[in-house]
Amino acid sequence: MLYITETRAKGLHLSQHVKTNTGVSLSKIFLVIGIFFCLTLTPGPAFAYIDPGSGSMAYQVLLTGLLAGALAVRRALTWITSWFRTRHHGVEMSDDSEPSA
Amino acid sequence: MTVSPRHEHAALVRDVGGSFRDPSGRVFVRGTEVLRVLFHSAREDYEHLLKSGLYDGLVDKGLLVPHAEVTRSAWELPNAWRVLRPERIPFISYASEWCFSQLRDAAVTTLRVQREALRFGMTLKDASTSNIQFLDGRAVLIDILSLVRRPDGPWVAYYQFCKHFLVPLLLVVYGDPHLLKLLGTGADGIPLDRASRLLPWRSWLRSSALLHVHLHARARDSSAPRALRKPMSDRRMEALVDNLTRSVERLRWTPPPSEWTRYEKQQPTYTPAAWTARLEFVSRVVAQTKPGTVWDFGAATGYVSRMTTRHGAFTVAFDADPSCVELAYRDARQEANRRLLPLVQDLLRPTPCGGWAQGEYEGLIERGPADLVLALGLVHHLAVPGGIPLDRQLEFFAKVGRAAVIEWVPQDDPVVTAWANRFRVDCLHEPDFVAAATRHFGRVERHQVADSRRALYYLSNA
Repeated sequence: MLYITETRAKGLHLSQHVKTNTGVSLSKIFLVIGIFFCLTLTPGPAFAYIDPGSGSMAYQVLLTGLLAGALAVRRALTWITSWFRTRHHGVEMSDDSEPSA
Repeated sequence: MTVSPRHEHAALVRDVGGSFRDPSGRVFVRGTEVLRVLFHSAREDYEHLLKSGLYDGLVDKGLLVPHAEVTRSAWELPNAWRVLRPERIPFISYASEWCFSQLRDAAVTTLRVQREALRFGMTLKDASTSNIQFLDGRAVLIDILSLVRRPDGPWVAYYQFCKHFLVPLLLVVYGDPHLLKLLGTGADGIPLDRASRLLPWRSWLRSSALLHVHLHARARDSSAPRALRKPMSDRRMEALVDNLTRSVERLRWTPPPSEWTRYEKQQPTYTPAAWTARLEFVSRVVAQTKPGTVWDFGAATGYVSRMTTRHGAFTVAFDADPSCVELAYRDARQEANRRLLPLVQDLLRPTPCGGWAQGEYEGLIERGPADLVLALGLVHHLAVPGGIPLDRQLEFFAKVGRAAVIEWVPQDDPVVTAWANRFRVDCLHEPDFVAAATRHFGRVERHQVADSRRALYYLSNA
Protein backbone atom coordinates (compact mmCIF):
# COMPACT_ATOMS: atom_id res chain seq x y z
CA MET A 1 0.00 0.00 0.00
CA LEU A 2 1.32 3.36 -0.96
CA TYR A 3 0.39 6.60 0.77
CA ILE A 4 1.39 9.86 -0.82
CA THR A 5 1.60 12.50 1.84
CA GLU A 6 3.64 15.23 0.22
CA THR A 7 5.84 15.75 -2.78
CA ARG A 8 9.07 17.63 -2.76
CA ALA A 9 9.23 21.24 -3.81
CA LYS A 10 11.32 21.69 -6.91
CA GLY A 11 11.21 25.44 -7.30
CA LEU A 12 12.36 26.60 -10.68
CA HIS A 13 13.16 23.15 -11.97
CA LEU A 14 10.01 23.21 -14.11
CA SER A 15 10.89 26.30 -16.09
CA GLN A 16 14.53 25.24 -16.49
CA HIS A 17 13.46 21.92 -17.94
CA VAL A 18 11.14 23.48 -20.48
CA LYS A 19 13.71 26.01 -21.53
CA THR A 20 16.22 23.30 -22.30
CA ASN A 21 13.79 21.38 -24.47
CA THR A 22 11.43 23.73 -26.14
CA GLY A 23 12.68 27.26 -26.07
CA VAL A 24 12.11 30.46 -24.16
CA SER A 25 8.49 31.28 -24.98
CA LEU A 26 7.13 28.01 -23.65
CA SER A 27 9.24 28.17 -20.53
CA LYS A 28 7.85 31.62 -19.81
CA ILE A 29 4.31 30.28 -20.02
CA PHE A 30 5.12 27.54 -17.55
CA LEU A 31 6.98 29.92 -15.31
CA VAL A 32 3.82 32.00 -15.07
CA ILE A 33 1.70 28.90 -14.46
CA GLY A 34 4.18 27.69 -11.82
CA ILE A 35 4.21 31.04 -10.05
CA PHE A 36 0.39 31.09 -10.16
CA PHE A 37 0.18 27.75 -8.40
CA CYS A 38 2.93 28.59 -5.92
CA LEU A 39 1.07 31.75 -4.98
CA THR A 40 -2.44 30.37 -4.86
CA LEU A 41 -1.94 26.89 -3.48
CA THR A 42 -0.63 25.95 -0.09
CA PRO A 43 0.65 22.50 0.92
CA GLY A 44 -1.74 19.96 2.42
CA PRO A 45 -1.83 16.19 2.93
CA ALA A 46 -3.09 13.90 0.17
CA PHE A 47 -3.77 10.18 0.23
CA ALA A 48 -3.98 7.93 -2.80
CA TYR A 49 -3.64 4.27 -3.72
CA ILE A 50 -1.47 5.15 -6.72
CA ASP A 51 0.88 8.09 -7.16
CA PRO A 52 -1.23 10.74 -8.88
CA GLY A 53 1.67 13.24 -8.99
CA SER A 54 0.81 16.60 -7.47
CA GLY A 55 2.22 18.43 -10.49
CA SER A 56 0.05 16.28 -12.73
CA MET A 57 -3.01 17.11 -10.60
CA ALA A 58 -2.26 20.83 -10.75
CA TYR A 59 -1.83 20.55 -14.50
CA GLN A 60 -5.15 18.72 -14.68
CA VAL A 61 -6.88 21.60 -12.86
CA LEU A 62 -5.50 24.00 -15.46
CA LEU A 63 -6.18 21.72 -18.43
CA THR A 64 -9.77 20.89 -17.48
CA GLY A 65 -10.41 24.61 -17.05
CA LEU A 66 -9.19 25.19 -20.60
CA LEU A 67 -11.08 22.22 -22.03
CA ALA A 68 -14.31 23.14 -20.25
CA GLY A 69 -13.85 26.77 -21.36
CA ALA A 70 -13.25 25.68 -24.96
CA LEU A 71 -16.35 23.51 -24.78
CA ALA A 72 -18.42 26.42 -23.46
CA VAL A 73 -17.13 28.70 -26.23
CA ARG A 74 -17.90 26.05 -28.87
CA ARG A 75 -21.42 25.59 -27.50
CA ALA A 76 -21.95 29.36 -27.45
CA LEU A 77 -20.73 29.65 -31.04
CA THR A 78 -23.01 26.81 -32.08
CA TRP A 79 -25.94 28.53 -30.38
CA ILE A 80 -25.13 31.89 -31.96
CA THR A 81 -24.66 30.31 -35.40
CA SER A 82 -27.91 28.43 -35.15
CA TRP A 83 -29.68 31.59 -33.94
CA PHE A 84 -28.41 33.56 -36.94
CA ARG A 85 -29.22 30.69 -39.27
CA THR A 86 -32.76 30.47 -37.96
CA ARG A 87 -33.16 34.23 -38.24
CA HIS A 88 -31.67 34.27 -41.75
CA HIS A 89 -33.84 31.34 -42.68
CA GLY A 90 -36.85 33.17 -41.29
CA VAL A 91 -36.01 36.29 -43.36
CA GLU A 92 -35.61 34.17 -46.48
CA MET A 93 -38.91 32.49 -45.85
CA SER A 94 -40.67 35.81 -45.31
CA ASP A 95 -39.06 37.10 -48.55
CA ASP A 96 -40.35 34.05 -50.35
CA SER A 97 -43.77 34.48 -48.88
CA GLU A 98 -44.07 38.02 -50.21
CA PRO A 99 -46.44 38.22 -53.16
CA SER A 100 -44.72 39.16 -56.41
CA ALA A 101 -45.58 42.45 -57.92
CA MET B 1 -2.40 -12.36 5.63
CA THR B 2 -3.20 -15.98 6.44
CA VAL B 3 -6.04 -17.57 4.55
CA SER B 4 -7.83 -20.27 6.50
CA PRO B 5 -10.93 -21.32 4.62
CA ARG B 6 -12.97 -23.99 6.36
CA HIS B 7 -13.94 -25.27 2.99
CA GLU B 8 -12.77 -28.69 1.94
CA HIS B 9 -11.05 -27.20 -1.11
CA ALA B 10 -8.78 -25.19 1.17
CA ALA B 11 -5.64 -26.67 -0.28
CA LEU B 12 -6.56 -25.39 -3.73
CA VAL B 13 -6.81 -21.76 -2.65
CA ARG B 14 -4.05 -19.41 -3.71
CA ASP B 15 -4.00 -15.65 -3.85
CA VAL B 16 -3.55 -13.94 -7.17
CA GLY B 17 -0.26 -12.08 -7.38
CA GLY B 18 -0.86 -8.36 -8.05
CA SER B 19 -4.08 -8.10 -6.07
CA PHE B 20 -2.25 -7.30 -2.79
CA ARG B 21 -1.51 -3.75 -3.95
CA ASP B 22 -5.10 -2.59 -3.42
CA PRO B 23 -5.80 -2.27 0.32
CA SER B 24 -9.57 -2.71 -0.25
CA GLY B 25 -9.51 -6.41 -1.10
CA ARG B 26 -7.75 -9.44 -2.52
CA VAL B 27 -8.29 -11.97 -5.28
CA PHE B 28 -8.02 -15.71 -4.73
CA VAL B 29 -8.26 -18.72 -7.00
CA ARG B 30 -10.08 -21.78 -5.65
CA GLY B 31 -9.98 -24.68 -8.06
CA THR B 32 -11.29 -23.27 -11.32
CA GLU B 33 -13.10 -20.27 -9.83
CA VAL B 34 -11.81 -16.80 -9.11
CA LEU B 35 -12.97 -15.14 -5.88
CA ARG B 36 -12.64 -11.48 -4.99
CA VAL B 37 -12.70 -10.74 -1.28
CA LEU B 38 -13.81 -7.24 -0.31
CA PHE B 39 -12.55 -5.84 2.98
CA HIS B 40 -14.68 -3.69 5.30
CA SER B 41 -12.95 -0.58 3.95
CA ALA B 42 -14.61 -1.21 0.56
CA ARG B 43 -18.14 -1.46 1.96
CA GLU B 44 -19.47 2.04 1.30
CA ASP B 45 -18.07 2.23 -2.22
CA TYR B 46 -19.41 -1.20 -3.15
CA GLU B 47 -22.86 -0.45 -1.74
CA HIS B 48 -22.98 2.85 -3.62
CA LEU B 49 -21.94 1.05 -6.81
CA LEU B 50 -24.85 -1.36 -6.52
CA LYS B 51 -27.52 1.00 -5.17
CA SER B 52 -26.76 3.81 -7.60
CA GLY B 53 -27.39 1.50 -10.58
CA LEU B 54 -23.87 1.99 -11.94
CA TYR B 55 -23.01 -1.71 -11.63
CA ASP B 56 -26.05 -2.79 -13.66
CA GLY B 57 -25.43 -0.07 -16.23
CA LEU B 58 -21.81 -1.08 -16.76
CA VAL B 59 -22.62 -4.78 -16.98
CA ASP B 60 -25.48 -4.12 -19.44
CA LYS B 61 -23.13 -2.12 -21.64
CA GLY B 62 -20.50 -4.88 -21.56
CA LEU B 63 -17.97 -2.66 -19.82
CA LEU B 64 -17.64 -4.54 -16.51
CA VAL B 65 -17.22 -8.23 -15.79
CA PRO B 66 -20.35 -9.46 -13.97
CA HIS B 67 -20.10 -11.23 -10.62
CA ALA B 68 -22.18 -13.22 -8.15
CA GLU B 69 -21.96 -12.88 -4.37
CA VAL B 70 -20.74 -15.97 -2.53
CA THR B 71 -21.73 -16.93 1.01
CA ARG B 72 -19.02 -15.79 3.37
CA SER B 73 -19.31 -18.87 5.57
CA ALA B 74 -16.80 -20.66 3.41
CA TRP B 75 -14.19 -18.09 4.32
CA GLU B 76 -12.39 -16.97 7.41
CA LEU B 77 -10.49 -13.84 6.62
CA PRO B 78 -9.81 -11.20 9.27
CA ASN B 79 -10.99 -8.24 7.21
CA ALA B 80 -13.38 -9.96 4.83
CA TRP B 81 -16.75 -8.31 4.35
CA ARG B 82 -18.02 -9.80 1.08
CA VAL B 83 -16.83 -12.50 -1.30
CA LEU B 84 -17.62 -12.13 -5.00
CA ARG B 85 -17.27 -14.63 -7.80
CA PRO B 86 -16.65 -12.71 -11.05
CA GLU B 87 -17.17 -14.44 -14.38
CA ARG B 88 -13.96 -16.21 -15.21
CA ILE B 89 -11.69 -14.70 -17.84
CA PRO B 90 -10.64 -17.59 -20.09
CA PHE B 91 -7.09 -16.30 -20.58
CA ILE B 92 -5.40 -13.50 -18.66
CA SER B 93 -3.37 -11.36 -21.06
CA TYR B 94 -1.07 -8.39 -20.55
CA ALA B 95 -0.73 -5.12 -22.40
CA SER B 96 2.73 -6.10 -23.70
CA GLU B 97 0.98 -8.98 -25.51
CA TRP B 98 -1.77 -6.84 -27.07
CA CYS B 99 -1.79 -5.33 -30.52
CA PHE B 100 -2.53 -1.66 -31.18
CA SER B 101 -6.31 -2.06 -31.53
CA GLN B 102 -6.56 -4.18 -28.40
CA LEU B 103 -4.77 -1.51 -26.38
CA ARG B 104 -6.96 1.20 -27.94
CA ASP B 105 -10.14 -0.74 -27.14
CA ALA B 106 -8.90 -1.24 -23.57
CA ALA B 107 -8.29 2.52 -23.31
CA VAL B 108 -11.75 3.34 -24.64
CA THR B 109 -13.33 0.89 -22.18
CA THR B 110 -11.48 2.56 -19.30
CA LEU B 111 -12.69 6.01 -20.40
CA ARG B 112 -16.28 4.86 -20.99
CA VAL B 113 -16.34 3.34 -17.49
CA GLN B 114 -15.00 6.60 -16.08
CA ARG B 115 -17.62 8.63 -18.00
CA GLU B 116 -20.44 6.41 -16.70
CA ALA B 117 -19.00 6.48 -13.18
CA LEU B 118 -19.02 10.29 -13.14
CA ARG B 119 -22.77 10.27 -13.86
CA PHE B 120 -23.31 8.21 -10.70
CA GLY B 121 -20.97 10.18 -8.44
CA MET B 122 -18.13 7.64 -8.73
CA THR B 123 -14.69 7.52 -10.33
CA LEU B 124 -11.89 5.12 -11.18
CA LYS B 125 -9.20 5.34 -8.52
CA ASP B 126 -6.68 3.75 -10.87
CA ALA B 127 -6.46 3.30 -14.65
CA SER B 128 -3.99 0.48 -15.17
CA THR B 129 -3.90 -1.84 -18.16
CA SER B 130 -4.00 -4.69 -15.61
CA ASN B 131 -7.61 -3.74 -14.82
CA ILE B 132 -8.74 -4.62 -18.33
CA GLN B 133 -9.10 -8.10 -19.81
CA PHE B 134 -10.77 -9.56 -22.89
CA LEU B 135 -14.03 -11.43 -22.32
CA ASP B 136 -16.16 -12.63 -25.24
CA GLY B 137 -13.97 -10.64 -27.60
CA ARG B 138 -14.50 -7.34 -25.75
CA ALA B 139 -12.28 -5.31 -23.44
CA VAL B 140 -13.91 -5.23 -19.98
CA LEU B 141 -13.01 -3.81 -16.58
CA ILE B 142 -12.29 -6.65 -14.16
CA ASP B 143 -11.38 -4.68 -11.04
CA ILE B 144 -14.61 -3.68 -9.33
CA LEU B 145 -12.63 -2.18 -6.44
CA SER B 146 -11.29 0.49 -8.77
CA LEU B 147 -14.71 2.16 -8.66
CA VAL B 148 -15.00 4.47 -5.66
CA ARG B 149 -17.20 7.41 -4.68
CA ARG B 150 -15.79 10.49 -6.31
CA PRO B 151 -13.88 12.91 -4.09
CA ASP B 152 -13.99 16.61 -4.91
CA GLY B 153 -10.50 16.79 -6.38
CA PRO B 154 -9.10 16.00 -9.85
CA TRP B 155 -8.97 12.48 -11.33
CA VAL B 156 -6.17 10.70 -9.44
CA ALA B 157 -5.72 8.18 -12.26
CA TYR B 158 -5.18 10.77 -15.02
CA TYR B 159 -1.40 10.44 -15.02
CA GLN B 160 -1.62 6.64 -14.85
CA PHE B 161 -4.06 6.55 -17.77
CA CYS B 162 -1.67 8.61 -19.89
CA LYS B 163 1.36 6.46 -19.17
CA HIS B 164 -0.47 3.12 -19.45
CA PHE B 165 -2.62 3.80 -22.52
CA LEU B 166 -2.10 7.04 -24.41
CA VAL B 167 1.71 7.02 -24.48
CA PRO B 168 2.09 3.42 -25.76
CA LEU B 169 -0.54 4.08 -28.45
CA LEU B 170 1.28 7.22 -29.58
CA LEU B 171 4.58 5.34 -29.65
CA VAL B 172 3.04 2.85 -32.07
CA VAL B 173 1.52 5.59 -34.23
CA TYR B 174 4.80 7.52 -34.44
CA GLY B 175 7.26 4.67 -34.00
CA ASP B 176 6.95 0.91 -34.08
CA PRO B 177 4.41 -1.66 -32.82
CA HIS B 178 7.21 -3.55 -31.06
CA LEU B 179 7.48 -0.58 -28.66
CA LEU B 180 4.46 -2.03 -26.83
CA LYS B 181 6.99 -4.45 -25.37
CA LEU B 182 8.10 -1.52 -23.22
CA LEU B 183 4.95 -2.39 -21.27
CA GLY B 184 6.66 -5.67 -20.29
CA THR B 185 5.05 -7.77 -17.59
CA GLY B 186 4.42 -5.65 -14.56
CA ALA B 187 5.75 -2.41 -16.01
CA ASP B 188 3.91 0.58 -14.61
CA GLY B 189 3.35 2.18 -17.99
CA ILE B 190 5.86 4.40 -19.77
CA PRO B 191 6.77 7.57 -17.84
CA LEU B 192 5.71 10.72 -19.63
CA ASP B 193 9.12 12.39 -19.54
CA ARG B 194 10.65 9.37 -21.25
CA ALA B 195 7.81 9.24 -23.77
CA SER B 196 8.20 12.93 -24.50
CA ARG B 197 11.86 12.34 -25.37
CA LEU B 198 11.03 9.28 -27.51
CA LEU B 199 8.23 10.87 -29.54
CA PRO B 200 9.29 12.82 -32.66
CA TRP B 201 8.95 16.62 -32.85
CA ARG B 202 5.95 16.38 -35.19
CA SER B 203 3.97 14.79 -32.33
CA TRP B 204 3.96 18.29 -30.76
CA LEU B 205 1.56 19.25 -33.55
CA ARG B 206 -1.00 16.66 -32.40
CA SER B 207 -3.16 18.16 -29.67
CA SER B 208 -3.51 14.91 -27.70
CA ALA B 209 0.26 14.38 -27.56
CA LEU B 210 0.89 18.05 -26.81
CA LEU B 211 -1.65 18.36 -23.98
CA HIS B 212 -1.53 14.94 -22.37
CA VAL B 213 2.12 13.96 -22.88
CA HIS B 214 4.58 16.78 -23.68
CA LEU B 215 3.15 19.57 -21.51
CA HIS B 216 1.88 17.09 -18.92
CA ALA B 217 5.40 15.62 -18.58
CA ARG B 218 6.82 19.06 -17.84
CA ALA B 219 4.17 19.84 -15.24
CA ARG B 220 4.49 16.43 -13.59
CA ASP B 221 7.43 17.26 -11.34
CA SER B 222 6.20 20.63 -10.17
CA SER B 223 5.02 20.95 -6.61
CA ALA B 224 1.41 21.98 -6.02
CA PRO B 225 0.06 19.55 -3.44
CA ARG B 226 -3.09 21.53 -2.75
CA ALA B 227 -4.26 20.64 -6.24
CA LEU B 228 -4.95 17.15 -4.95
CA ARG B 229 -7.82 18.53 -2.90
CA LYS B 230 -8.91 21.33 -5.16
CA PRO B 231 -12.60 20.83 -6.01
CA MET B 232 -13.31 20.09 -9.62
CA SER B 233 -16.75 20.34 -11.19
CA ASP B 234 -18.38 17.46 -13.04
CA ARG B 235 -18.35 19.59 -16.18
CA ARG B 236 -14.56 19.92 -16.05
CA MET B 237 -14.08 16.23 -15.34
CA GLU B 238 -16.36 15.27 -18.22
CA ALA B 239 -14.50 17.64 -20.54
CA LEU B 240 -11.24 15.87 -19.67
CA VAL B 241 -12.64 12.37 -20.19
CA ASP B 242 -14.34 13.37 -23.44
CA ASN B 243 -11.14 14.94 -24.73
CA LEU B 244 -9.14 11.83 -23.85
CA THR B 245 -11.75 9.62 -25.52
CA ARG B 246 -11.64 11.67 -28.72
CA SER B 247 -7.84 11.64 -28.60
CA VAL B 248 -7.68 7.86 -28.30
CA GLU B 249 -10.38 7.14 -30.88
CA ARG B 250 -8.65 9.34 -33.46
CA LEU B 251 -5.41 7.37 -33.25
CA ARG B 252 -4.93 5.17 -36.31
CA TRP B 253 -2.27 2.64 -37.19
CA THR B 254 -1.97 0.69 -40.43
CA PRO B 255 -0.14 -2.61 -39.92
CA PRO B 256 2.69 -2.87 -42.46
CA PRO B 257 2.40 -5.99 -44.65
CA SER B 258 4.83 -8.79 -43.93
CA GLU B 259 5.60 -12.28 -45.16
CA TRP B 260 3.24 -13.61 -42.49
CA THR B 261 0.33 -11.24 -43.09
CA ARG B 262 0.28 -12.53 -46.69
CA TYR B 263 0.67 -16.18 -45.63
CA GLU B 264 -3.04 -17.02 -45.44
CA LYS B 265 -3.80 -15.53 -48.86
CA GLN B 266 -0.74 -16.80 -50.72
CA GLN B 267 -0.46 -20.19 -48.99
CA PRO B 268 3.24 -20.56 -49.90
CA THR B 269 5.03 -23.93 -49.92
CA TYR B 270 1.72 -25.83 -50.11
CA THR B 271 -0.36 -27.03 -52.99
CA PRO B 272 -4.09 -26.35 -52.56
CA ALA B 273 -4.59 -30.04 -51.78
CA ALA B 274 -1.89 -30.02 -49.07
CA TRP B 275 -3.29 -26.82 -47.53
CA THR B 276 -6.77 -28.32 -47.36
CA ALA B 277 -5.44 -31.61 -45.96
CA ARG B 278 -3.70 -29.81 -43.09
CA LEU B 279 -6.83 -27.89 -42.13
CA GLU B 280 -9.00 -30.99 -42.41
CA PHE B 281 -6.69 -32.96 -40.12
CA VAL B 282 -6.75 -30.26 -37.43
CA SER B 283 -10.51 -29.94 -37.81
CA ARG B 284 -10.90 -33.69 -37.32
CA VAL B 285 -8.72 -33.70 -34.19
CA VAL B 286 -10.64 -30.80 -32.66
CA ALA B 287 -14.00 -32.37 -33.53
CA GLN B 288 -12.99 -35.68 -31.95
CA THR B 289 -11.15 -34.46 -28.83
CA LYS B 290 -13.38 -31.41 -28.15
CA PRO B 291 -10.74 -29.26 -26.40
CA GLY B 292 -12.02 -26.41 -24.24
CA THR B 293 -8.94 -24.30 -24.88
CA VAL B 294 -6.57 -24.25 -27.84
CA TRP B 295 -3.26 -22.38 -28.06
CA ASP B 296 -2.26 -21.84 -31.67
CA PHE B 297 1.45 -20.97 -31.87
CA GLY B 298 2.65 -19.24 -35.03
CA ALA B 299 -0.99 -18.50 -35.87
CA ALA B 300 -0.22 -15.76 -38.45
CA THR B 301 -3.56 -14.05 -39.19
CA GLY B 302 -5.47 -16.82 -37.42
CA TYR B 303 -6.66 -18.97 -40.32
CA VAL B 304 -6.49 -22.19 -38.23
CA SER B 305 -7.62 -20.50 -35.00
CA ARG B 306 -10.84 -19.29 -36.60
CA MET B 307 -11.59 -22.87 -37.61
CA THR B 308 -11.02 -24.21 -34.06
CA THR B 309 -13.33 -21.54 -32.62
CA ARG B 310 -16.05 -22.75 -34.97
CA HIS B 311 -15.77 -26.10 -33.16
CA GLY B 312 -16.48 -24.29 -29.89
CA ALA B 313 -12.92 -24.12 -28.54
CA PHE B 314 -11.69 -20.90 -26.94
CA THR B 315 -8.53 -20.24 -28.93
CA VAL B 316 -5.55 -18.03 -28.21
CA ALA B 317 -3.79 -17.23 -31.49
CA PHE B 318 -0.15 -16.38 -30.74
CA ASP B 319 2.17 -14.81 -33.26
CA ALA B 320 5.39 -12.81 -32.96
CA ASP B 321 4.36 -10.40 -35.73
CA PRO B 322 2.22 -7.50 -34.37
CA SER B 323 0.81 -6.90 -37.87
CA CYS B 324 -0.59 -10.45 -37.96
CA VAL B 325 -2.12 -10.07 -34.50
CA GLU B 326 -3.63 -6.72 -35.45
CA LEU B 327 -5.28 -8.19 -38.56
CA ALA B 328 -6.49 -11.27 -36.65
CA TYR B 329 -8.00 -9.08 -33.91
CA ARG B 330 -9.72 -6.74 -36.39
CA ASP B 331 -11.12 -9.75 -38.20
CA ALA B 332 -12.34 -11.37 -34.96
CA ARG B 333 -14.01 -8.11 -33.92
CA GLN B 334 -15.68 -7.69 -37.30
CA GLU B 335 -16.98 -11.25 -37.23
CA ALA B 336 -17.96 -10.86 -33.55
CA ASN B 337 -15.93 -13.98 -32.81
CA ARG B 338 -16.21 -14.30 -29.02
CA ARG B 339 -13.88 -17.29 -28.75
CA LEU B 340 -10.76 -15.91 -30.41
CA LEU B 341 -8.02 -13.99 -28.60
CA PRO B 342 -5.05 -13.05 -30.81
CA LEU B 343 -1.91 -12.10 -28.86
CA VAL B 344 1.66 -11.09 -29.64
CA GLN B 345 4.03 -13.75 -28.37
CA ASP B 346 7.58 -14.48 -29.46
CA LEU B 347 8.06 -18.14 -28.57
CA LEU B 348 11.83 -17.72 -28.50
CA ARG B 349 11.31 -15.19 -25.69
CA PRO B 350 7.92 -15.97 -24.16
CA THR B 351 6.36 -13.65 -21.58
CA PRO B 352 8.14 -14.23 -18.25
CA CYS B 353 6.71 -13.94 -14.73
CA GLY B 354 6.92 -10.38 -13.47
CA GLY B 355 6.18 -7.79 -10.84
CA TRP B 356 7.06 -7.95 -7.15
CA ALA B 357 9.09 -11.09 -6.35
CA GLN B 358 8.15 -12.27 -9.86
CA GLY B 359 4.77 -13.26 -8.45
CA GLU B 360 2.41 -10.52 -9.56
CA TYR B 361 2.09 -11.49 -13.20
CA GLU B 362 2.21 -14.99 -14.63
CA GLY B 363 4.47 -16.05 -17.45
CA LEU B 364 3.15 -17.94 -20.45
CA ILE B 365 3.76 -21.43 -19.02
CA GLU B 366 2.07 -20.53 -15.72
CA ARG B 367 -1.13 -19.64 -17.60
CA GLY B 368 -1.40 -23.14 -19.09
CA PRO B 369 -1.82 -25.89 -19.83
CA ALA B 370 -4.19 -25.68 -22.77
CA ASP B 371 -6.20 -28.71 -23.80
CA LEU B 372 -4.63 -28.62 -27.25
CA VAL B 373 -1.55 -26.89 -28.64
CA LEU B 374 -1.12 -26.27 -32.36
CA ALA B 375 2.31 -25.72 -33.92
CA LEU B 376 1.85 -25.77 -37.68
CA GLY B 377 4.80 -24.82 -39.86
CA LEU B 378 6.72 -23.74 -36.76
CA VAL B 379 9.11 -26.45 -35.53
CA HIS B 380 11.65 -25.90 -38.33
CA HIS B 381 11.72 -22.14 -37.60
CA LEU B 382 12.39 -22.80 -33.92
CA ALA B 383 15.01 -25.48 -34.67
CA VAL B 384 17.04 -23.90 -37.46
CA PRO B 385 17.16 -20.08 -37.20
CA GLY B 386 15.93 -20.24 -33.59
CA GLY B 387 18.47 -22.84 -32.49
CA ILE B 388 16.07 -24.65 -30.12
CA PRO B 389 16.78 -28.42 -30.05
CA LEU B 390 13.82 -30.68 -30.87
CA ASP B 391 13.85 -32.25 -27.41
CA ARG B 392 13.55 -28.79 -25.76
CA GLN B 393 10.71 -27.90 -28.09
CA LEU B 394 8.73 -31.03 -27.25
CA GLU B 395 9.43 -30.52 -23.55
CA PHE B 396 7.91 -27.01 -23.81
CA PHE B 397 4.87 -28.13 -25.81
CA ALA B 398 4.19 -30.87 -23.24
CA LYS B 399 4.34 -28.26 -20.46
CA VAL B 400 1.85 -25.88 -22.07
CA GLY B 401 -0.52 -28.44 -23.61
CA ARG B 402 -2.18 -31.72 -22.67
CA ALA B 403 -2.18 -32.64 -26.35
CA ALA B 404 -0.61 -31.17 -29.46
CA VAL B 405 -0.76 -31.16 -33.25
CA ILE B 406 2.72 -30.45 -34.55
CA GLU B 407 3.74 -30.22 -38.16
CA TRP B 408 6.99 -31.94 -39.08
CA VAL B 409 9.05 -30.28 -41.80
CA PRO B 410 11.91 -32.43 -43.21
CA GLN B 411 15.41 -31.30 -44.17
CA ASP B 412 14.65 -31.48 -47.89
CA ASP B 413 11.67 -29.13 -47.62
CA PRO B 414 12.18 -26.12 -49.94
CA VAL B 415 12.04 -23.67 -47.02
CA VAL B 416 14.74 -25.57 -45.13
CA THR B 417 17.02 -26.07 -48.14
CA ALA B 418 16.91 -22.30 -48.73
CA TRP B 419 18.43 -21.88 -45.26
CA ALA B 420 21.15 -24.49 -45.85
CA ASN B 421 23.84 -21.99 -46.88
CA ARG B 422 23.33 -19.94 -43.68
CA PHE B 423 22.40 -22.47 -40.97
CA ARG B 424 23.01 -26.06 -39.98
CA VAL B 425 19.84 -27.92 -40.93
CA ASP B 426 20.87 -31.45 -39.96
CA CYS B 427 19.12 -30.96 -36.61
CA LEU B 428 15.85 -31.69 -38.42
CA HIS B 429 16.04 -35.46 -37.99
CA GLU B 430 12.61 -37.12 -37.82
CA PRO B 431 13.60 -40.12 -35.62
CA ASP B 432 14.93 -37.63 -33.03
CA PHE B 433 11.61 -35.76 -33.20
CA VAL B 434 9.61 -38.97 -32.67
CA ALA B 435 11.86 -40.04 -29.75
CA ALA B 436 11.42 -36.65 -28.05
CA ALA B 437 7.66 -36.68 -28.69
CA THR B 438 7.36 -40.15 -27.15
CA ARG B 439 9.45 -39.08 -24.15
CA HIS B 440 7.39 -35.98 -23.37
CA PHE B 441 3.87 -36.98 -24.47
CA GLY B 442 3.55 -40.75 -24.63
CA ARG B 443 1.04 -41.19 -27.43
CA VAL B 444 2.37 -40.34 -30.90
CA GLU B 445 0.41 -40.61 -34.16
CA ARG B 446 1.82 -39.68 -37.57
CA HIS B 447 -0.30 -38.49 -40.50
CA GLN B 448 1.31 -37.74 -43.85
CA VAL B 449 0.05 -34.51 -45.41
CA ALA B 450 -1.38 -35.25 -48.86
CA ASP B 451 0.60 -33.82 -51.78
CA SER B 452 3.44 -32.72 -49.47
CA ARG B 453 6.60 -34.04 -47.80
CA ARG B 454 5.45 -32.56 -44.51
CA ALA B 455 3.68 -34.62 -41.82
CA LEU B 456 1.33 -33.84 -38.95
CA TYR B 457 1.81 -35.47 -35.56
CA TYR B 458 -0.93 -35.81 -32.99
CA LEU B 459 0.64 -36.08 -29.54
CA SER B 460 -1.16 -36.59 -26.26
CA ASN B 461 -0.62 -37.60 -22.68
CA ALA B 462 -3.46 -40.11 -22.80
